[in-house]
Amino acid sequence: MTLREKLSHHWSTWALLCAVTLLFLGAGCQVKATAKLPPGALNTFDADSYRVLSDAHAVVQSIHDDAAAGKVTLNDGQTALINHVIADDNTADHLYKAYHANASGDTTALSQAIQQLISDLASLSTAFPTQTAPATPPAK
Amino acid sequence: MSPAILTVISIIAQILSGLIPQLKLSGLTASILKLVDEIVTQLPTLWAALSSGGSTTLEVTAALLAIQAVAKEAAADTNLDPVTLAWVQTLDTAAQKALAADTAAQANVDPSTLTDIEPL
Repeated sequence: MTLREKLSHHWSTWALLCAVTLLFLGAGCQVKATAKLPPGALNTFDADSYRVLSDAHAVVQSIHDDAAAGKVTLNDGQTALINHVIADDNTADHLYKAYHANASGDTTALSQAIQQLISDLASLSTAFPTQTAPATPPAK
Repeated sequence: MSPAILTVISIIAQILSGLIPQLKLSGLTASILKLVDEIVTQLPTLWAALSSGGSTTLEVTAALLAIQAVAKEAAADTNLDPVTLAWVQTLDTAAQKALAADTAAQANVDPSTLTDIEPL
C-alpha cells in the first residue's frame, strides 16, 4: 500500500469516527459530565456548549479575518461555504446567549445548532485545495 | 478538547496529504512525510479520546507543533503551490486560536466573547 493510499484509508477512518463523535455531541454536549464547572457556568450543558462554541468561533473568526485580509484567495464556492458556516456560528451563538441568560431553556435547539455548526465546519474540507496537481509528468 | 480544533487539524492533514506528490520532488521528503503521516495516524486516537471524554490537549498540541513544522518547511519550498500553502498557514493559525479559546473557555464562561461575525 502506498503512503497516499494509506492516507486515504486513514481519512476514511476519521470521517467515520467524526460522525460517531458528532452523535455524542448531539446527545447534549455532555461528554465530560464530571468536569468541574468554570466560573460563570450555569451547569454542565452550559459550560460544554460555551466551550465548543468558543473553539468554533475562534476558528471561524480566524479564517474570516485571513480571507478578509487577502491572506487566502477565495473563489465564489469557497466564499459561499464560509459564509454558510459564519451564519451557522452566529445562529448557535445567539441560541447559546439566550440559554445562558435564562431567556430560553431550549437545549434541543441549541444542541442541534452546535451539531450543525460542527458538521458544516467539517464540510469546509471539501472547499480547500486538497487535490494539487501532480508535479511529476504522466508516465509515457 | 472540543471537536472544532480536531476538525481544523483534520482539514489541514487532508491538505497536507494532497501536497505529498509535490513534496516527494522537493528534497524535503523524509522528515515532512514522516510528520504528515504522524499527524494523520494520530487523529483517530484523538477523536476516540474526545468521544470518551478523555483529555486530548497534549496530543492536539503535539499535532499543532507538527503542523507548524510542516508548514514552516513547506513555506520554504518555492516549488509548492502557494495557494495551498496559504491555506495551511491560515488553518494553522485558526487551530492555534481555537486552542487558546479552548483554554480560556475552561477557565471562565463569558458569552460576550461570542460576537457576531460579518459575512465575507
